[in-house]
Amino acid sequence: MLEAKGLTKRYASVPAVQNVDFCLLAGQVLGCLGPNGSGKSTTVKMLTGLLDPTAGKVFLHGRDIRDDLVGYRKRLGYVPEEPNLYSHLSGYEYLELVGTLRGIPKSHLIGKIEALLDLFKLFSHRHASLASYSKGMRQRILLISALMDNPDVLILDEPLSGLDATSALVIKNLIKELGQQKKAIFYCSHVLEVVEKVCSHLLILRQGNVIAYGRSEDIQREIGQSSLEHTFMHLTAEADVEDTARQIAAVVSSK
Amino acid sequence: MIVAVRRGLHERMASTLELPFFRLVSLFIARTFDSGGKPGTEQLDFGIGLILALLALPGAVVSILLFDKYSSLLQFFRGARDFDSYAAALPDEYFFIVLSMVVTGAVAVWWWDTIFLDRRDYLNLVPLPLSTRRIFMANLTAILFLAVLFALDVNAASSVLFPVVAAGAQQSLTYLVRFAAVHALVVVLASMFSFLSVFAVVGSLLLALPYAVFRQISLPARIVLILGLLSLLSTSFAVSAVAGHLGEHPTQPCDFCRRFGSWVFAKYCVSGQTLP
Repeated sequence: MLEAKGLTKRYASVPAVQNVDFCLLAGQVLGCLGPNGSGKSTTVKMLTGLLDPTAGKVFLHGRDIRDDLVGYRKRLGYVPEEPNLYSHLSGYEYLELVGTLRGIPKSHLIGKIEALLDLFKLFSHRHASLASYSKGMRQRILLISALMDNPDVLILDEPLSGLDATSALVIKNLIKELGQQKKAIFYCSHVLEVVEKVCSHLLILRQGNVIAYGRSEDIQREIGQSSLEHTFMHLTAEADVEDTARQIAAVVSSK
Repeated sequence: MIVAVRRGLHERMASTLELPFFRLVSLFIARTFDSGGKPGTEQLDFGIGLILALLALPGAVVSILLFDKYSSLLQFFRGARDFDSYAAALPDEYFFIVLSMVVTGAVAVWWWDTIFLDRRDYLNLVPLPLSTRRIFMANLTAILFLAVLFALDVNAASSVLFPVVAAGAQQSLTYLVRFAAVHALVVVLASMFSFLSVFAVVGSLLLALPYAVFRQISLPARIVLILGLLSLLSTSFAVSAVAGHLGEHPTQPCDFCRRFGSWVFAKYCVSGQTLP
C-alpha cells in the first residue's frame, strides 16, 4: 500500500535520512523507533509530502505520491508532533475548517464532528478558544482532524504526547481497531511500551539509517532479546545506560 | 418576491463563502488580527472593529480642522473676497495623500510578516488535500483584500468630509462631485501603494534571507520604514507649500519634491481635477 524506496534527505550535504526502504500494507501498524536525531521526523515529513526527498520516492498503491500530492493527501490522516493550531478558532471551528478544506459535505461533516468531539470528551469545550485548550486537548483535536475523513493511511507522530492515561488507553485501542479495519498506520514514537503493544511491524532508525525492519517478533527473535526495550537498547545504545545513569547520579550528589 | 430574491442571494453568498478557497481567505484575514499562541510576535491583539475605527480617525479629525480654512462665512469676515478654494486645496490634498500613505504604511509595518504563510500554516494546511497554488492564491487574495479594506477605511472620512469642506461652497455640483471622486481615487490608490510597498519589502526580505536572519533584521528594518514614513509626514508641511503651485506648473516639479512617491499621486490629483 504505502511504500518507501531509497528515501534520502540531505541538508547541505549532511545526511538526515539515508536509503530508507519499507512497505506498509493495509492492516499493518508500523512502529518507527529511534533515538533523538535518528531521522524519524524527517522520514515522517517526507511520507506526508511536507518535505521533498533528496533521493528516493514514496509510493501509494505503486504510484509516486508526487504525481498527485493532493489526491494522496485526501487519503492521508496526519497527526504532527506538535499541536500548533490556530488559537483564534474554537475546537469546533477548527474541525469544521479542516473538514471543509478536505471537501467533506457539510451535511455529513457536522454530525461527524459532533460525534467525534463527544467520544473524545471535548464536546463541552467545543466552543472554547483553542488557546485555552491544554496540550492533551489540542492533541485530541489533531487526532479528530486526522480521522474525520476516514483516511486509508494514518501517519501518527507521537500521538499520545500530553494525553492523560485514559485517553492514551483509548487511542492505543483505537489504533488496533483501525488496523483491523485495514488502514495502514505509520506510528512514530519514543515510548517503547506503546509501540510494543500496538505495532505489528517495526522500523528502527539510527543516524538516518534503517538498522532493523520487519515483524516485531522476528526482530526480537533475531536479536535474541525478550522485550522491545532490550532489543532497542541492543540496537541503538552507544553507551551503557545503567552506567551513564549511575555517573549522572554521582555528579548530582557530589559536593 | 423581493424577499425571495434576497434570500436566494443570501444563500448563494453563504454557499460561496463556504467554498474551500474562501474559507482559506477568511482564515488568513482572521489570523492576521490574532497573534495569540504564535511565538516571536511582538504585537498586541486588537479586534478588527477597533482597528478600523482608530485608522479612520486621523482623516476625519484633519478634515474637521479644515472647516476653519475653507468656511465661506469666515472668509467673508476675514475680508478674503477672492478666495481660490482650488488653489488652497492643493497643499491639503497633498497632505491627505501623505497621511493616507503614512497610516496604511504604518499598519503594514505593524503587521510585518503576519499576513504571510508561516510555520503554523505549514503544519496545519500543507498536509491537507490543497494544492500549494491554491494556498498561495488565497494568501494573495487576503493581502489584496486587506489592502483595499484599509485604503478605504483610512480615507473614508476624508473622502466625504474634505470635498464638502473644500468645495462645498462652489456653485457647481459637477465640480464638487469631480473634486470628491478624484480625491477619493487618489488617496485610496496612495494608501494601497504604501501598504503593498511595505509587503513587497517584507516579501523580498523573506525570499532573499534565511528565516533566522530575517527575524534578526526585522526590528531594524521596521524602525527604518517607520522613520521613512515619519519623515514623509514631517516634510509634507514644507512640500505642501510647493504643491500649491502644482496647478500652475504641473509638469515642472522641484527636484526635491520629485523624490517622494506621494508627489506622483498629487500630480495625478491635479491632472484628474484639471482634465477638460
